[in-house]
Amino acid sequence: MSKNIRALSARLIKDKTLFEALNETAGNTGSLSHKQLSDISDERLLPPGVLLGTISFYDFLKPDNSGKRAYVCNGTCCMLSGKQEAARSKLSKRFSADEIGEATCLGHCYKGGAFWEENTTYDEGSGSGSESASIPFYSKAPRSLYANEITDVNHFYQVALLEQNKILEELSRSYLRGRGGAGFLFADKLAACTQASVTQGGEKYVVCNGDEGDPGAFSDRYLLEQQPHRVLAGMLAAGLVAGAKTGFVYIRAEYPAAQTRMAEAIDAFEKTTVHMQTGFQFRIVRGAGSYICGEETALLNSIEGLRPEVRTRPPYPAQEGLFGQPTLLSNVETFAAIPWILEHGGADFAAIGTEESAGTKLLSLDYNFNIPGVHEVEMGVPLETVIYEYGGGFRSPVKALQIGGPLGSVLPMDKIAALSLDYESFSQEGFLLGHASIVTIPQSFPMIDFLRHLFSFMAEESCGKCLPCRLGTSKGHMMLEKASRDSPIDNVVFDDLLETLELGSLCGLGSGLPLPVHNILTYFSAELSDYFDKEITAP
Amino acid sequence: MSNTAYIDGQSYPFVEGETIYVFVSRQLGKDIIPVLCNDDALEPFGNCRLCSVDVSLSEEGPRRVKASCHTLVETGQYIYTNTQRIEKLRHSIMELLLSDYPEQALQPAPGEKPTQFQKLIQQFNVSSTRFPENGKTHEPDNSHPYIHFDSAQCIHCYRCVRACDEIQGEMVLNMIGRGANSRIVASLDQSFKDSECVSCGRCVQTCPTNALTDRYRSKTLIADRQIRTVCTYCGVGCNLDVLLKEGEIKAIDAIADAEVNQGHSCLKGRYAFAYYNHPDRLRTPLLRKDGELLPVSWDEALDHIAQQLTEIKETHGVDSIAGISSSRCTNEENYLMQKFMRVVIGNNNIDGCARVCHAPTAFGMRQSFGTGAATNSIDELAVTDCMLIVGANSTESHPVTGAKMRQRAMKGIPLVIIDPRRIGLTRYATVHLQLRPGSNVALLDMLIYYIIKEALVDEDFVKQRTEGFEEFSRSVLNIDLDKLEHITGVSREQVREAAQIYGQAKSAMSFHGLGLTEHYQGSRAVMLLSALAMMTGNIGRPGTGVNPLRGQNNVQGAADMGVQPKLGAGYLDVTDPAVQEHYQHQYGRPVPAGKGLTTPEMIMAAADGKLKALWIMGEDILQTDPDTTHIRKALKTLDFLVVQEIFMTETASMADVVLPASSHLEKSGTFTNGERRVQRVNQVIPPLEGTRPDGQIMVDIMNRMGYPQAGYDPVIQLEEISKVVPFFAGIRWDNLGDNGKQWPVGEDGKDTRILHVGQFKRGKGKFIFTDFVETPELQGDDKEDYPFILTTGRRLEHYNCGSMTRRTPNVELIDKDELLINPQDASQYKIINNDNVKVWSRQGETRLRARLSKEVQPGILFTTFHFPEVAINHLTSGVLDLDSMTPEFKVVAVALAKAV
Repeated sequence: MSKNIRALSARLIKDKTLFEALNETAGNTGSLSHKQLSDISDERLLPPGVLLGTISFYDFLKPDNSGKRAYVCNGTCCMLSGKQEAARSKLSKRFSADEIGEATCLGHCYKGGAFWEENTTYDEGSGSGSESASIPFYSKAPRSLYANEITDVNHFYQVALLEQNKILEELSRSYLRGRGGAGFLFADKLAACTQASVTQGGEKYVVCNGDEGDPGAFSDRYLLEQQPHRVLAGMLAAGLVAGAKTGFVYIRAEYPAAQTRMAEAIDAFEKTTVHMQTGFQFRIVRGAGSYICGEETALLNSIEGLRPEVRTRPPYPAQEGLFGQPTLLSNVETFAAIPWILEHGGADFAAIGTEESAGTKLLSLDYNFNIPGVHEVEMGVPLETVIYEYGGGFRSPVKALQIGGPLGSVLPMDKIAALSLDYESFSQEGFLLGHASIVTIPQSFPMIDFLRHLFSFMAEESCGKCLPCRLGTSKGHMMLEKASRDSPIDNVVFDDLLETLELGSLCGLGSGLPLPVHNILTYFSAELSDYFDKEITAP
Repeated sequence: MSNTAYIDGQSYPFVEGETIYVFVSRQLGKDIIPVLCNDDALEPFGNCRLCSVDVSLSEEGPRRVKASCHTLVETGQYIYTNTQRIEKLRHSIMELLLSDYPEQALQPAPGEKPTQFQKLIQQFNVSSTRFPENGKTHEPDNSHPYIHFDSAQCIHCYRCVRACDEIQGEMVLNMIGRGANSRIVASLDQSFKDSECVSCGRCVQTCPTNALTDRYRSKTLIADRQIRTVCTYCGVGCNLDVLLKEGEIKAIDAIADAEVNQGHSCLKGRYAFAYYNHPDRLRTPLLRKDGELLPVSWDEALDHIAQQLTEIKETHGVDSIAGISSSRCTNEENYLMQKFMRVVIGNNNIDGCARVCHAPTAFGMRQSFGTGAATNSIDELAVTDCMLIVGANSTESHPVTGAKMRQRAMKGIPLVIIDPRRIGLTRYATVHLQLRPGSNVALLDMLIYYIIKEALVDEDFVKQRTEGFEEFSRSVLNIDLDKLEHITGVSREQVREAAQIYGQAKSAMSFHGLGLTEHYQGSRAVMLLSALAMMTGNIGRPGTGVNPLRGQNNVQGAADMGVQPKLGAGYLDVTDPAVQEHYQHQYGRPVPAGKGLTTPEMIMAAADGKLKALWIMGEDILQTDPDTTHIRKALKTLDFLVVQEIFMTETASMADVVLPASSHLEKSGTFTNGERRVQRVNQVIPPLEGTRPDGQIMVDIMNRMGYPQAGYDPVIQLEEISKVVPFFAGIRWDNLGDNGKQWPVGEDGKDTRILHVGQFKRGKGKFIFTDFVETPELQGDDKEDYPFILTTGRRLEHYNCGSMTRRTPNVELIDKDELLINPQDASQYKIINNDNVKVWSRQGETRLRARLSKEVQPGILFTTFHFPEVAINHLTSGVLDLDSMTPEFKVVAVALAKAV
């Protein structure tokens, strides 16, 4: 991470950060002329080459993609659903092939066949011109965090004005863990950020990670679109405790409706008395198409306008985060849970779920469930209940589930009975709960193609900073693409590649990929044996 | 046990906050953990993961793989450097890298050393890869005269990108694209030649493969010998390793652990050495016979000189002879030259090129502080809280110091720049006071006014350590702000802001260059800058002071050695009888009592026919001194002109005797850099056949004229100098070490980083007020005829008159002097880029190519003086600094027209 680029970028953040300037100048056309680059370069004191380094990283800004006017969703569910061609043919009536790109993923996994056009997303259920209906939401938890409608916005935000020690205490008592996947105790993070001190006249920040890039996950999209005040109030309450005055809500470019809803919510917040009392400012930062930005240090680099490459840790964001200042960074769902905790007390929250996994969890069930959509469940509920009762079972036969995004575990159906929806159960079995999206892999879908899709996605999305991940994902992808009955993969080489990824990678993208791959190799070895030259054995 | 950790089972103490890699390397050596993306001069980056180790919290506990370059050591940690899985991981990473790496580059190129990556290939014994190859092909970029880029050999370690950012601060090299489709490009994916690259070569030096190489293959060259010496291209004093093969210089490398430059250099230091054996080098003495310069033997030339000088002295008196010494030569050589003039010829007519640059600094700071040298050291840039830069474009003229300033400036340290031009650093400045050339005194008066008005005076410092403040303060408060605003073209609000920035900083460092000194009121401006430092207490502490940036490699040293007409070696007043006694005792001969002539006085005396003979050591005054026509006339009038040179120059071509000198690569001695650091210059190759070191030439002539002087040998001369120059008391050739010593150096050999700690050299610091006086250059009845102000400076690629750099591939980067003109003026004169324009002054005219640039304001023109064909000093005037007689190069009244 360049200290110079960061320092220069930090000089001009009041109206627009460097990244916002690049993003907004590119607009929805996704292209920046050399003249535009040079103007931003003059204003921001950074050589144009640095800016090219940044924009060329993003799908929606890179010069190769200029001229694209529509995008077909290339997410896992859209691929598995077999509805991509239909989406493409809809678009090809209005756009030439050159104007249609691919985006991963638009978060319409509950329908499939998603596409993006003129800053609006659509899916199978919606014709072009009429935006798709909102995401179906069901609460199956004994006490729902989200079911109550917010009628009085002004009153709602009062919760953030509780005494700061009280907020810390309740959050600590709630045992709320980060919902982004890592499950880190939120109160610990908040305490660390509260204790950290700013440098050189800077200020602390609170950042909401709304870069829900996992194909198959759309629960954050639900919260950003349908529950934006909960997210903001959570950021506000925790931000005030930490000592921040500004909150950044980073929302991926693939979620245009979330941007609109959030912007409306911020407008509403700015009319509240709490805003007047605190002076707290919210800013939305729109992403530009890059999966790695969901990794917290890459996300910080992204906001700063640096290439969103993963930073080495320590320092952690709580000590040295956005623009080098202490930053409270957490996931959408984590912040969204905070108002309820403050309203009802931490003890009430802790009483929901299990000892280690308190509270409720939002699950994303894909199009192949009979009841697809976002399901709020009490943590600790058996996975079978989720699938067959809440989700209503499958529309077509399924041979495996991938839970927790593309880096989450791939479970054959016979493993489901042993699992419940909590961190402990998953980790005991060697799986990962992650962000708890559930993607169904149809019986008919070849596992070799699923593996290829996984590697293709990771090779495409690896930030490329560390050598094991940059080379491991792309070489792995090449090996799988070439693999056939006549020319099978050397298992030893493939295992070495996975081990290198797992042990050597700088962040979870590279080190996490081997988990689903090993799962697939272990549980579907029969189906894959033709593609490998030796018998597949469990690692 | 606290602060102890285990490496492969053995316990060792660690330093709080150090990384595992540093810890292990420090304890067991650098070869224990392999690294690729790591460069000790760069921040840890964690990209190659080759440095991974196994780490556990207890001896038998679960182990985790961590990259040692960015993981901090913790108490009681168990570190395992080469477990089986770690070895396998490293091997696999190497194999992955090889899958995208050209097979033909696995081994070193014939006759070359292996690169760091090739060594790792050997160490890990990987010669092939089991992973699929990407098969992409790349065309190498050989567009640049020095730096070549073969992206096929790039392993994406980012070291070049980081060096370009963290050291040079240009950020020309960047990674573009994402993941597998990423690659390193220059600027906007341009060729190196077309990019913004400043050719410092730091990227080549750090690149662990041959992706980045230079034309000299410096990284992989197998040298017979390598010799450490000091760069000759500016006053920074970078330490360089010169690589030799079969007696020839093949490459130059910047020394990684040098205190001055820490492995950095600019393109002049690193690459521009081809001049040294250029066919144009003078290789035999030349004597003018029947109007023509003809080759003669050394004996004939020296005999002729001795005879001529003796005759002139007898006929026209002792004062009819003068000498000009050279700041490019060593201390010992300058010492001998002044000694020759004073002891053998017998007058004080000795001056040097400091007269055309920093004489006002030496004079001005001497009046204020008692010593005319930089008060602090460059590495204090790392700790200062504020930089004030006046009339110095360090980015181009002192590139390694400039890069350090840029690093601080980009990170946001308060920076005030006073400069008529929008120089590179102004981009990052907090305030840029873009004054009209020639109005420094007016601006500094305003700045000082606001220091007082805004109550930013350090009362304690002023009271305890200075004198004359009350009177000074009264005068300052009487200035006419309206008038000064008008003269400088800078608003009082901006000046007030600058005063607040400088005055409020806990420590503030000022730097100045010739933009402050080469003026009608040059010395006075230096005194005001000195006053500014004193009144804010910015003297005698780290990160403070007044720090002139010296243009030539040994300007400081030449002045120290007595190359000035009023002060002898060690700045002792030659008119003081006690001093005369001291010199007489040391030199063993009587010394002259009257003060001698400065260079401009010599020229005037020559033109008047009073000066008959002039001896010039390594200076081309016809190209570099003002008013060429006047100088040419003066030199023509001389009876006898001797020039020591390495190339035939304009000046040498007028000489009666030309003596071929050896370059700095061919002799030993010492240079003193801009921070008073006396460093060893080591002979790299013997003098080119037919040439002699300048010092040896002086020794030869001294002996011929009857003064027994020991042969040129810095060991001998430094011993002698240590007795003559008080602040050299403890300096001996043998105790200077690799990084030299900063004077004053006591008898005990202890050197001095910061001057005036606790007390000024002159006792109390003195406040000297000066009112602004307009230069005569911009006055006169004909001033309407010359509506523009021309100011001059240097470009990164060339060095002064260009005699050296023009004889290197640097000309492929810049081959002309250009005239910078504001687009507004250009449009008025219907001038477009690359037009040929005519510029004329009261003194003369020249033609050059125009370049439209907002670097200059309307009404101001700028050019350089590197190429003799432009001969810009035909235009410059005879206006001199009132106190030091330094010419006013920076302000010339000119007119402009598009050439037809």
